[in-house]
Amino acid sequence: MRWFLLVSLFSAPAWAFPWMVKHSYGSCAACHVDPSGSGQLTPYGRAQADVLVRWRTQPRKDEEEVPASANFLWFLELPEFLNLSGNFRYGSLIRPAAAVKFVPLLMATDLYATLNFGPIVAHATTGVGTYSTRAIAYSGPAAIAPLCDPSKGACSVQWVAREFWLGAKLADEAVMVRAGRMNLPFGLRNSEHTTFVRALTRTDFNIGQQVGLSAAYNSEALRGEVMGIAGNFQVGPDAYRERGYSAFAEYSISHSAYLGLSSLITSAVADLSTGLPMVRHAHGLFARIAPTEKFALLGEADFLAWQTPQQLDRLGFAALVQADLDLMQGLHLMGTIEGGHTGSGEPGPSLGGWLSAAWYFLPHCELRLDNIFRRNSSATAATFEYQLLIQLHLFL
Amino acid sequence: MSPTRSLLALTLFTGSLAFAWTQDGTATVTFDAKGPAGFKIHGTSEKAAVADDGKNLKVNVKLEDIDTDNGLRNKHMLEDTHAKDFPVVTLTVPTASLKETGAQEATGTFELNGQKKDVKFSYTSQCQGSVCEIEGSAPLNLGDFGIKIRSYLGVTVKPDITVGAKFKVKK
Repeated sequence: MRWFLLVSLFSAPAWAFPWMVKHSYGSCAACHVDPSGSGQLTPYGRAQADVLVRWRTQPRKDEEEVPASANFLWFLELPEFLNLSGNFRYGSLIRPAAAVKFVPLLMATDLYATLNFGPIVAHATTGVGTYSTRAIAYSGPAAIAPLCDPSKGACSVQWVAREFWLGAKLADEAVMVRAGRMNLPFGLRNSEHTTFVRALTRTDFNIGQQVGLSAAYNSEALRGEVMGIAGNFQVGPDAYRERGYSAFAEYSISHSAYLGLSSLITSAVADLSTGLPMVRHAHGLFARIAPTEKFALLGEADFLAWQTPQQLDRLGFAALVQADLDLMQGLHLMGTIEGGHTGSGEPGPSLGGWLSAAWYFLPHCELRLDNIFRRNSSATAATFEYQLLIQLHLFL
Repeated sequence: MSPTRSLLALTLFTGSLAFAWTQDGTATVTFDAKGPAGFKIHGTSEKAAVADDGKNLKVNVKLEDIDTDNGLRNKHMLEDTHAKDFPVVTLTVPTASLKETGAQEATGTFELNGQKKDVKFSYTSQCQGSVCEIEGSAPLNLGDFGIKIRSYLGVTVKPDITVGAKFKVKK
């Protein structure tokens, strides 16, 4: 075993905006290279980020074209076949009740590259991640080298590659088949990768990628993706690799209301957290609703089960409801409540509440603040913690 | 419903809309367009005008009043539809062909980009007293009206769109 620690408290979210339903963007494929959303933007997505996401002191004029600052590195217009971008995120985590009260976090330093040759798409990300013996910032399953053994505390900087895949767009771009290392298609692609719905299902787009084959479908009424999971080959030995499937489908009830369902079953000879043989189930519903152009509600609820070869071992759940309000364009106020239960003998569920603000103050720039209140439930005790996370995010 | 009102409703529901009608309240016009990979656009205007000249019911909307919730997209829509030269879109329907009740189909003349074309549309009409609420929609191909849609940063909206209207008229 090279390592199996699964502690990814605060690492490197990219960006994804499920609240874009406020602007009738239910499908993600026009704006993101990944047909199911998150991560690198397409040139069209870059333009919409400037038009719809960036903060403005004055309302945008209709006759205003997208400025050159929307381009890569704020100025560089790339040829049509080449899409380059970057994702730099630095944060400070303040934990008043912890022994280490202030933790600087280098959360992401990723470069993205996508090549488009007609219907063929090749996509890769590469960057540097950190490994901390304090088990706070952790590139973990996304790291390639050097591979760190926590017991030895051997390294602090790692080469990270979250995604690399080759895809083909078919049927007038309604279908995209891909092979490689990808985000798992499951639930909401929300940026808060430490929320229970993402952490307990292991479907965040920070370190949750796996190698496999997938087919994604996007039409005006229905979108979805099915992925056959071959495992995370940046984790070893092979016993720790999960194999199975992950899938979601989302139906458009109206141009501002979407309802989806997700399902995941994986099997590993040795589970990453317990080291025991494990079949992991996650099945749930999610929804995105925008009652007005300024307000979106996102929700997800997942049933979880952990099964050993002999018996059903544990039952649990993860749930989240998030409200996203545009105070003005480029300034978002978000409130999140969440719950999770791992079925490990806790007397009750873990609960959380987030009060967050995101300010897209300049082209490609975001300043984000998260107040995170959590009641963590375990078999022995329930503990309360408060954390303040301040992040500066540049998406080149 | 009282017997008198029931009788009135029955009388109205069995006839056509062949009266002189005037707009009652706000008239809403929408369009829905599609692009690649699930991309879609919803445009709406609540500034449409409904008028009846005794023969035809006309629904007019200025293109500049249609909002797609995206300023840049509004600009491109106005440019691609040549709104400077042809600022108004009109649907003209012979009043006699309209029925007062239920789900119906009819044919009207749609004028866009300075070009006219007969279009079939479906609608529902619900009348109460002297007021009727009408909601209808029609599929259109923008190419039929000489409109060529630009490809913007790899995204091209398809020419087949659906237009809709919802309004109340009173006798």
